[in-house]
Amino acid sequence: MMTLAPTLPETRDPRGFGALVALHEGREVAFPLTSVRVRTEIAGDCARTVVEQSFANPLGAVLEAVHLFPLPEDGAVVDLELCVGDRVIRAEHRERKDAERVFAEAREQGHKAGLLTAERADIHTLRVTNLPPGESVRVRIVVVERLETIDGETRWRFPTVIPPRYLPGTATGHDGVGVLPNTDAVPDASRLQPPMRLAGGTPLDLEVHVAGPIAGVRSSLHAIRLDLDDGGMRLAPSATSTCDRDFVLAFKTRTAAVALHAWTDGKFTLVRVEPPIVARHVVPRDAVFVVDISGSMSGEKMVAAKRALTTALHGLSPGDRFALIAFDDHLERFRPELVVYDDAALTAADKWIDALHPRGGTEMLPALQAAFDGETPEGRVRTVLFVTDGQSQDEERLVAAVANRRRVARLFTLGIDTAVNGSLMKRLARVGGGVAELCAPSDDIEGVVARIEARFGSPVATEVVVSGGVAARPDAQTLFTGRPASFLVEGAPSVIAVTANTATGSVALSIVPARSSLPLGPLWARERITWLEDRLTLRPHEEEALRPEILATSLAHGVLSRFTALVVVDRATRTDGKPVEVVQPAELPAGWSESFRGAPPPSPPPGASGGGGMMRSVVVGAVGAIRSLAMAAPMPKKAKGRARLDAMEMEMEMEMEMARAPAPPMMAAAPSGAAREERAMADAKPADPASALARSQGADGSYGSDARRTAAAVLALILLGSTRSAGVRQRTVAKAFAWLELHAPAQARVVLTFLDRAEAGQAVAVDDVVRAFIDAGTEGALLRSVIDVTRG
Amino acid sequence: MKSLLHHREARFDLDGLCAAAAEALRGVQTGDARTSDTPDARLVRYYQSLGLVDRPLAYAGRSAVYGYRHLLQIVAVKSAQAAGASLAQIQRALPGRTTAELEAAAVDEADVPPQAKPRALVTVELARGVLVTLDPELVDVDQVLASLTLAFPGGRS
Repeated sequence: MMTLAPTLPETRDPRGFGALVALHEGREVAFPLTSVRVRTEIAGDCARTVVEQSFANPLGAVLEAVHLFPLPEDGAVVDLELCVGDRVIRAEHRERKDAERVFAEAREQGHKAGLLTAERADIHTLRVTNLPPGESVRVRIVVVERLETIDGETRWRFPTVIPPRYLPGTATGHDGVGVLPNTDAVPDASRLQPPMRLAGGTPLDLEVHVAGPIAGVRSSLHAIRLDLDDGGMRLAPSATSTCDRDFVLAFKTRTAAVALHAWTDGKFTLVRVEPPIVARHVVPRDAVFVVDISGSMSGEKMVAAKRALTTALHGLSPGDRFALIAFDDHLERFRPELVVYDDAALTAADKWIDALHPRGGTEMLPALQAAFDGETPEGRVRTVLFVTDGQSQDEERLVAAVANRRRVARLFTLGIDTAVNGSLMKRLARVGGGVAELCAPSDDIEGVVARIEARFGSPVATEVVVSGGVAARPDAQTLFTGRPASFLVEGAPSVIAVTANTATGSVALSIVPARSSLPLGPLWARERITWLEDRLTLRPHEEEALRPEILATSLAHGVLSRFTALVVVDRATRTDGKPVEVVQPAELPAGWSESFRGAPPPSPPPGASGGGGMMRSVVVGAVGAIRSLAMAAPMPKKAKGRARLDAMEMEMEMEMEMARAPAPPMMAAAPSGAAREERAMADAKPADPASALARSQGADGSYGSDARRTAAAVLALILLGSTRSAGVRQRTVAKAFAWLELHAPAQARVVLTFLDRAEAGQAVAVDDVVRAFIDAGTEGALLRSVIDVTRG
Repeated sequence: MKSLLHHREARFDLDGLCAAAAEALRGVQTGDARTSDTPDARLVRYYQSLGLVDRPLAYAGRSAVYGYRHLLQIVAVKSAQAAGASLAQIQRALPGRTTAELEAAAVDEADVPPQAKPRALVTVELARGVLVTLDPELVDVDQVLASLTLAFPGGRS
């Protein structure tokens, strides 16, 4: 059979670009990065991860693939290998400019080559050059890190994507491969932001092996599969994943918590100090809450942030003062000054928080400055809680600004995202003297806030220092409840001594370090480099001394830093032709509004965004629960009226909103669409009675200044799992009980028997509570309210 | 559409780049109601954020300097959209294109009306089961058929 195709003369395809597109349709691989494989071994609180990135050339020309990607911000990159077919070539670790020169020469000579550089603690750039059409290579990167322990849980967070981040300032140049220019505010911004991918994703093949007996495993994002395997566990996402979110793994080890641990490998020593359990020392607080309402917070993040703020606000005590600051590219304050915590302020603040609505850019600096503004009188402490997704490129300026204001207040950061900016959140908390909490919008945000609150007022120990060797981070550390402090010390002293100041005086402990088979050098070096880089941010004039020290530490321990690079050259192969550079686009993180993929709208019509005119997002669940309490127990007229009013207002607003929005064009509709989305999410959350109880509590800790209702609320909270010292609602319980002790000693005595039992770890059942009420001759109506509330 | 070749050595600021692209695309139906018709600064920044338009050549003070390749990239994206391609498809196909490829694509596509007429192809049965399809724009149909007929005597009715 004869087939005939006319010989095409060398001519332009008349279908032009459409044909280029058509050619690529149905092709599996359009971008150079074809897959990412992650294998992690976790032993104790250390992790070793091998990240293998596969690149293929889908073009007709020689390719240079550029990949901007994140690695764990506390990780030490210790090795890189280039795999070409069966051959494995190991990289050299050199000063960055030498490595760049070696790479440029290899490119010139047509050799395959790879270059890994660090732009920030988390953001890295990998270049792979001279990849001929149709060929593929793999690059293996080895990262070691020490894991954080939070409330007895060891956590490993592996980021897989750099989200689109806001860039402040005026453009000044563009020397990096990223899609944003350098600006006067962020001089290295052009190295940080990959293009955004519009469709599809890079398959992620991730597997973690945790050695030793572990318990209480959870993964906040992907579903996971558990296979028991010689005492340890193997975990992997159960479904197909792509690089669009952080992978977070948390587990508990079965080792008993002791005050002091130390291990040594003979050259370096790791010391871990557990916070002592001390009575909460209550100091009147000036609490400043700063919340990010920029566009990237749209959707479930905003719902979570509001819930976090409300929970934190209701956790304050009588005598405290508070301020609320919301920011996008403008600053909004609840009140110009700090407000005394009372019922009126609380009600107004709840409304103000409900009405917040995400929109513009992410100008963090003025908001943080405002949070530290003004004087805090003697005898009060100021704390700042910064609630954000952290999606700004602005890092050095913010770190410097917070460090310079450290003596005014402690800064606690709460990062909420599926791909949170852990580097920024942790650095700000570190220089701000507080701690960072990172969570996904789907996490139990109220539980997270309860943990922050437990640490808020005052640390359990300050001026924690070790002696017996040079600590990588020589500054004294601060200990907060549930957050052990770690020191990496150069040297292997026979005894490690730790001293600290607590409310009851100074404490000295010592320990003989145990032997460790794990080499601690890279971890020490990574922590040292982090400390030196923080110093460089705070004291740019010391660069001449600090730069060489970072470089020397980096090279001596084989740990990548901003001033070094890993370079690998395959001298066995040669290609011709200048390679074409393609920068791998990054996915939009999971859960982000699809509007991020589209072109930004021209400019919002005046008055269209935010402000008092926008509808409020009302948590219907909470209203419902308050109502059920109101029906069972007598409730003061004011509060009863409020619950009804909220529900009515909401219905009216919904109607008005529908009438107000006559099918606007797609782009302009985005903000109100997002608001609807948020409300739908808030509505979808089932009514949590404990949350409703926390929210309806008065500023003085009581429920309508009514002893019986207050006692009922405390008993209900005990049945729901909170006591004065444990559970998500411990602040609510503590405040209500304190009020009872002062105003209603009889009820306080009844409640105390249950509190004592629950706090001693004994079970408290509904029946017991019922009996107690009958014994005390209390009315049945009150009983029903307790039961109603617990059954939600 | 006018040729873009005269811009080969051009240097633009952002506004100049947008103006040149708008001029090149004049008369070309480049989008539906949802996509912006005229390239403006906002759209160029958006294309940059997708990796469809290269980083600027340089900065003159605080203003970015663009050139011919940037112009071609914008025109290519708009032309491909006019031909019915989605931005996601364009993003898969555009990176790594040489200036010559962009030149061909941008110029030709903009010349073609949005709904390009199907090409008139000639199909001839040379022998039983042997069909030949020829494109008159690419080959001289009569000449090819004449030589083919010699190879398949009697096949052509």
